[in-house]
Amino acid sequence: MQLIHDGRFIRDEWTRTTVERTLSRGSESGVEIEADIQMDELCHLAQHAALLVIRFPSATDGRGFSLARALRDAGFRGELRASGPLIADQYDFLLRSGFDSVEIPEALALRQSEGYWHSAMRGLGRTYQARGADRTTTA
Amino acid sequence: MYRYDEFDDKFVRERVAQFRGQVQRRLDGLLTEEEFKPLRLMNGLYLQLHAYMIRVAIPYGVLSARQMRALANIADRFDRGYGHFTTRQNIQFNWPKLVDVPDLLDALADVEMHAIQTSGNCIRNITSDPLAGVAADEIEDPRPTAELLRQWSSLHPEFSYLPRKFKIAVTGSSTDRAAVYFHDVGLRIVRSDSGTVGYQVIVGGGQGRTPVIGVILREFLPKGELLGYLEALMRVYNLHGRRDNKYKARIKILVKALGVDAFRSQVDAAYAAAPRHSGEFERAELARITTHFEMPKLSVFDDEHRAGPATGVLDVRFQRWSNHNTSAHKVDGYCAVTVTLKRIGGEPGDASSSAMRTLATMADEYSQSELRVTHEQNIVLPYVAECRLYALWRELQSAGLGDGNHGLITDIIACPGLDYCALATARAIPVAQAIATRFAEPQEQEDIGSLSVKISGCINACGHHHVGHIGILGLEKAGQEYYQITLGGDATETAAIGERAGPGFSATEIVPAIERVVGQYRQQRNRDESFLETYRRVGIKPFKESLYATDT
Amino acid sequence: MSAIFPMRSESPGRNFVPQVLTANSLREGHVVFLDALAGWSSCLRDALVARDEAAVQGLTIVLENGASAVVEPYLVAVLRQADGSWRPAAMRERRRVQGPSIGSEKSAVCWSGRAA
Repeated sequence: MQLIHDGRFIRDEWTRTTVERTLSRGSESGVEIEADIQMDELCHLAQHAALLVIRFPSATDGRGFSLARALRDAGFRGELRASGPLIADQYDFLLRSGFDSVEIPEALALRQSEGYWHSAMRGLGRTYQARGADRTTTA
Repeated sequence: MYRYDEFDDKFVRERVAQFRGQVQRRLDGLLTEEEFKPLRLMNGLYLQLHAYMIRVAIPYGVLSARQMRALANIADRFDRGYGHFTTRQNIQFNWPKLVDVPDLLDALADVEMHAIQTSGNCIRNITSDPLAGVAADEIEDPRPTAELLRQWSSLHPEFSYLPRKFKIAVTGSSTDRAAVYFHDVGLRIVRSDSGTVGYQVIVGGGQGRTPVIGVILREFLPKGELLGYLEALMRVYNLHGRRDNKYKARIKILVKALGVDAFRSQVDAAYAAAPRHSGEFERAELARITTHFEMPKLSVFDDEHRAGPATGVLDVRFQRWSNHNTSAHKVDGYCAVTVTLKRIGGEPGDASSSAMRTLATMADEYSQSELRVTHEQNIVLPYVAECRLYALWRELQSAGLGDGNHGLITDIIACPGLDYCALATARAIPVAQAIATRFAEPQEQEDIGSLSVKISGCINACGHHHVGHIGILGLEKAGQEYYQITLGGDATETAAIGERAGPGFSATEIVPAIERVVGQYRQQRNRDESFLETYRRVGIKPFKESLYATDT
Repeated sequence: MSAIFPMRSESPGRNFVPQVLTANSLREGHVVFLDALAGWSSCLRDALVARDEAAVQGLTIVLENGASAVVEPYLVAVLRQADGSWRPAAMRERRRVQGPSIGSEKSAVCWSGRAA
């Protein structure tokens, strides 16, 4: 998988542990979750994790956007990573939903080069949802 | 009407630039069709039976004369000289080329228009009452709310990949001309007991394969809470709407599966969990937006000038047009005029580029340069002085746009059907043409009175046949088109889904079948009763007997 | 470019219906058919008709590999007419070839020449 952060392809500092769906970086722990997770389980996992990886089974399955927003609304301050066959055109939505990073399959990264992700980031600065003074922006 | 500020303009331009890049990457093979398809759908570009089709957004149906002229130019430059006004207050062009679409979108951006979110699994065009802001029975103009929702829903990061499309309608009158009971979310502007204006929230209505009348989710939602509450509602839908079956993915299915009380609990929980906003932003935005929708300065005419020219009175065709095609207005001495795009034998809702230019000119001369697109595929001129009606009508007549058939049997709604649409099972337009031709005689139309015929070319019901007084659904059996009739549908606040009359009719049998339905109505009716009133009194039985009686 | 579909001597099964491969032009959107030289033509009469299973296999390979100039390719069953021409079996597919039955498009247009 190729990790993207701030519009750049970067190396992943997190590694998968032997325990299913868990990752670690030094003493920190991370959890990978599916899109159909229940809210209370999500909040429980969020309490102890420094990283939450939210799986997108397909690019058109938008549940991950709501999970990210709900987590940010609940005060989660750790790293949120979207994982799946996502394309650069979705980067803006992902960032504005509260994700910090995106992880995509290698094969997709060959076609969706770093340049696209970077320009997608600069692209749509203007959004209606960010207009309000008291509305939370999550970029 | 709403005028783009610098923000809106840059937003749309950036979108066009982005799509131009996406088209180029698609043409260069850097995006597969699977990746490109949701992107082109988000820009309103479909692949239909014979060609691409682009659906241009006309937010809550409001158009300026300048925009109408631009649509005419686009029809000539990028299409085949005509456009189709839809049952959701949009316009469609049937023959654009993918390579031309970025330039087409730039031409739209020049007049503050776009095709964003008219397709795809996102929040679609916010629709409203075509008489918004002018209707005499209005509690409050729904357009500022519709505009607020349009901005809120534009490229919303959380709600751009929903289980399915999402349609919201707003009405500001007790008479519902926006079909709020047949949308995913319908909003009625209401007054609380203390006189405060707020929203009644209706959820889970819709047509399509499983027509459902929406249920009231919240009796009164105060202003300032609308966006927060809707976000909670959308979040519940986005997380729990079905994604395994395209035909069971609308919110109406979720509401039915959970039951409205359980659904309401989930929405309330999501609303409580979200950060509470003061409502200041929403109220301030509404106030800012409302300044764009003030009633224009309309001239006041003294009694002498109000009477109108005497010659107008003697023309029977003018009288007919004046009776059917005008609506009561907030401002004394004014009315809203409906121009029907239902020429006998023509294509319902279609307008040639020259007709569009005529409409734009009429709007400039008679209606403060403003027009509305209706759910019935017609056009409204919202600010016409009564004393100028005859002059307006004369000009419309000479352009072939003066037919006084609004609300009558020839004012038929028909989807594009199998003549254009990749989803269709049968043609709808020829059926509309045949019925209109059969009942073309003005006296007969007058005698039949108010009767809405709505025709869909497949079970997706884009012709809204479920809510037609007479609905016709086009299907296919053994390689032949055949047509099922439903009766008694109603899109207004007395919402009803039409009842199926029985087995379908072939293309040659359908018009005689409609004749029998109309004949039965005339037989059964009490004095001055409309078709719908008679139907509600006598039920479907006499109509069934008339339709399926075998000759003795 | 030589024909790319294998020739077979067995006759097709009793229920076999000949197929053509259709799609829409990516750039312009109009209806096209795969022709005998593996190009895309706007006219049904130019379409390569797969008259046995092996030939249909050949069409399926093109469909699955995706041809870059077209979108949404799919197979259409065709029936031979008395005059030797081929016509789609399904009503919907016939309508798609003929164009709209109403309005100014009424006369069925069959563009000559190849799609881009």
